[in-house]
Amino acid sequence: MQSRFLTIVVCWLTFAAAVATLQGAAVAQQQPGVPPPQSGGPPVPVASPPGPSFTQPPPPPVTESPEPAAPSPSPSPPTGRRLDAYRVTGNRLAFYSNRYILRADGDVVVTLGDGTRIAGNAFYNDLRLNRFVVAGNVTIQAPGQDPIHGAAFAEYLDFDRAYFVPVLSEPDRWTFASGHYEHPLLGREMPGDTFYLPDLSGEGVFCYARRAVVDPRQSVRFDAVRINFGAVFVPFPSYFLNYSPNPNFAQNALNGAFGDAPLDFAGGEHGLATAHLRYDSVDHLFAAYEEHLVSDNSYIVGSINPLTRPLKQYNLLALDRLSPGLEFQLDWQETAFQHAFSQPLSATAYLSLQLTGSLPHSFLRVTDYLYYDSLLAQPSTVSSGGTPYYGDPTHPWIPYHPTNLQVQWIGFRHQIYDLPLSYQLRSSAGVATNTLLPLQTLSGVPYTKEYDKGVGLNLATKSLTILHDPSGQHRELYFTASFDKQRLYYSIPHHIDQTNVTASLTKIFSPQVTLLTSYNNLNTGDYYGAQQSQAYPGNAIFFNPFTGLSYQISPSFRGFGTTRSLEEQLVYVPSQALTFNIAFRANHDFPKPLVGPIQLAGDTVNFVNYGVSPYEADLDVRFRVTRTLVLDVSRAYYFNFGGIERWTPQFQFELQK
Amino acid sequence: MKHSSHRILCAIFAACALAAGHAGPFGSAARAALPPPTAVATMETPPPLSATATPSPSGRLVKFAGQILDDQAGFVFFTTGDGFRLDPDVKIVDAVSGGPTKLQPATTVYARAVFDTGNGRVVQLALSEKPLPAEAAYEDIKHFAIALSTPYVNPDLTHAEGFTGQPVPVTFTVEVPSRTPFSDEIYLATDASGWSATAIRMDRIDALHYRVTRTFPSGTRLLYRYTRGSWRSAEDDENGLQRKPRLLLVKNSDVQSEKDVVYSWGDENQFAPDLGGGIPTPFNPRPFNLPPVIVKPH
Repeated sequence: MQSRFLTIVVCWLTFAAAVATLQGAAVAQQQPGVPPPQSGGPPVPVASPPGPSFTQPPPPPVTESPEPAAPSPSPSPPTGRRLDAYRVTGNRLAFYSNRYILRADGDVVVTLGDGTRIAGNAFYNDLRLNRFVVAGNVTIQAPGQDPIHGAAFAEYLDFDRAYFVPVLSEPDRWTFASGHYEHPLLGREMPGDTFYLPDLSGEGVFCYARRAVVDPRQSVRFDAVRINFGAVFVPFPSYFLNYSPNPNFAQNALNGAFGDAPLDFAGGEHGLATAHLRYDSVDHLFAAYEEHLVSDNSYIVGSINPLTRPLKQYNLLALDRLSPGLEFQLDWQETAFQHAFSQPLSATAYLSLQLTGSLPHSFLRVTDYLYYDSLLAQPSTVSSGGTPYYGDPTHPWIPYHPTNLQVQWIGFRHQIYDLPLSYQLRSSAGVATNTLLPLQTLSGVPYTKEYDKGVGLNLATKSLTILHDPSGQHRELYFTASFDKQRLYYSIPHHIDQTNVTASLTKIFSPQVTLLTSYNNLNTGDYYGAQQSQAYPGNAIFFNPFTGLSYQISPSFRGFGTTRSLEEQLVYVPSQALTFNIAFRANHDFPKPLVGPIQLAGDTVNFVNYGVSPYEADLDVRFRVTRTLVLDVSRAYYFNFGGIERWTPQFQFELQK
Repeated sequence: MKHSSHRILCAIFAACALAAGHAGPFGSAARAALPPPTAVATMETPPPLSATATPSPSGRLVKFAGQILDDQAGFVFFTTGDGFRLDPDVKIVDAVSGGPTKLQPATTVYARAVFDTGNGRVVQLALSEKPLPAEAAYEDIKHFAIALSTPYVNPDLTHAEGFTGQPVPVTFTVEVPSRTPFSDEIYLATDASGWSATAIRMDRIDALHYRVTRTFPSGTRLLYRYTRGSWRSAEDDENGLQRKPRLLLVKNSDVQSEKDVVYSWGDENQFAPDLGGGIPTPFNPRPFNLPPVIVKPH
């Protein structure tokens, strides 16, 4: 049963990879001569083009005197004809990632989805503008038609318009609407920048390739590619560039790592397969795999990480918008110890199923959390302590399967009359079960099932202007406050109260300088009445059934705690490329915080502290080095908390697409 | 005692800063003002027509700089889409030195064309691999372009909103839920940045508001969502469902302002306020919002 489940997961990932690969191959191997669906009526001008991302005409080249601002062409509505993926070859094919421009030089051939071949000397494709130009000794060869010769050809994919400068006895200007090459519109005015060739001098090349297959507004697949790794261009069989406007491609099923080099190697409009080379302090250098299957309203993202180490994690995220007001979400995480893909020695899993439904002025969310301590069948080998295990006793088999089902109702935020105050209500009910081990033992009574219900209230002010700036330069002083209170009742006789109060003052000195001071008071109380000391004995161990990890609870914690924090934060933004952020925080904890790490025997975990350090200062500087490189340096100082905690440096380099 | 002194220092610093702040030590009117509007691209006045260029013209000479699309059948084509007739004795020279050049009038090469206004032919092409400074306006030479067909108005273009591509500073201001962890950063994730969850970090205005200004050419259509640094913590709709990306269309204006409200975050469990993450602190003994579980007495 357990092995079967693992097999299903692996099969799914393999299948997904195969689908994505086939999608990519199908795009690459589209045969010419297949006519596209024909267009409908004439285009209806609307205010803006339909495609996402950048659609503005680029500024005119600096060498040209600007001509009168020719308006951009209005987009035609979806006409039923779509220019499918097109293939580009040339003597030299380069991709400039900073500009998202594909350029080819020498014996360029562009093969459109309808089989039309456009040959020329040079090719420029602005992927974000979704248009391309073929220039120099151009020949258009449409299926079943005589070739036409000219000087330049431009295709505006979003508008299904092609513009051509033929050279007959003399030059002319033709427009092809909806791919009707046999019926050019002679002399029709063209957009002013139709044949604009972007200046790429000084731009770095991300990769060179033998061929490229462009799926407009979605992706580019490069074949026989050489990718720029700084000093050298490393050859790869193919590289898949996904620039889809669908944000579901950005969903991430991989765990964190210190370093990650992804390589998208296959994909299509709805799929993306990515190999990762990663590094962290535990596994060092290792490989991982991630697969995306997406649509506009759903996604499935799976990953295996690390792929090349025995302790693997199989993650699966899924979301589906079942209807405009109903959404399903799934999170699956399986941790298995297995060499390659052999029989695992251990396999645990965590599953979260969530259904969210929209209601008038509120929504309802049903969530079921499930934890499987072992997905494997009971082994025959038993340790000296009587615990069954696989391989060796470090892989004990523990049949543990707690669940927690929660139903939550969350109301919208409502303003109270005309006051600058709003409120939000919430309530919940749930049941936690564990049939194999008790959830809690109190006064000698083991509980394997526990019901809970709760209510909550949040009150918050708007940003209130305390002091106006008479100069009109918006250097006001603002005040905000919020109050949050909730109570959870349990069938095991106790209840938990949580109260959180926050107030803040913000002073804007100038558009560049802002100072913020805030105060926060957080109270937690777990009320057992006469059984308080039994529920919270000193030096107790907390066992988390969802992670299988144990923690020692602070000896002085008896179920009640308070944290009060005062923070000051100064934000200085001298330019769009540079930001300074300085914060000082003073915390007062009850009970007193304990400095870590503390190492326990058995199922243990290292942690930093119980509670928060009394004082903390943070400095963060963020600097945009280039258009794609951001340097973020942050350091925190803990004022020698516990005689141990001083500096916590963090340096982050972020490379953005 | 030591802690108390720290608190006092902290409070004094806060009071001084706020008091001084209202007086505005950093806030001169000039610095607080919005950035001046960016000038719309203007037409340059062409230089006076030169009558001194060689070869000997039949009329006046006009110089026009541009990039070549093609050179064939006795015509040179510029990226304006126009084909101009070459004079049979056209001179090919280097744009910088004015002397001979190895460059040929070919695709992507930059050129300064000298037109003979008497016959409309190009009598000289000065070539360069780099862009050349502007010369005469396009209006002064476009009537020399050769086209067999009579131009007529393109109905596609008549009702469209023309975007000049001028740079427009766009200010995004967002109000976040009051439950947002105070120390968290807010980011803009956009389709133009590959949906990186940390693409553009926003600057805090007050406890509930963040702001950032970025410059885009007018006509830009940008899809974006707010995040707290990961897609797990991206904004959701008020009804708890995953939010569709917001759409920004940059208009032909000096500045543009977008004001948004985030109602909830994807990783937000309203019944499990963030009290310290997954590690049980004294104030977060049940980090996963479970009933108290103490099954292993010490």
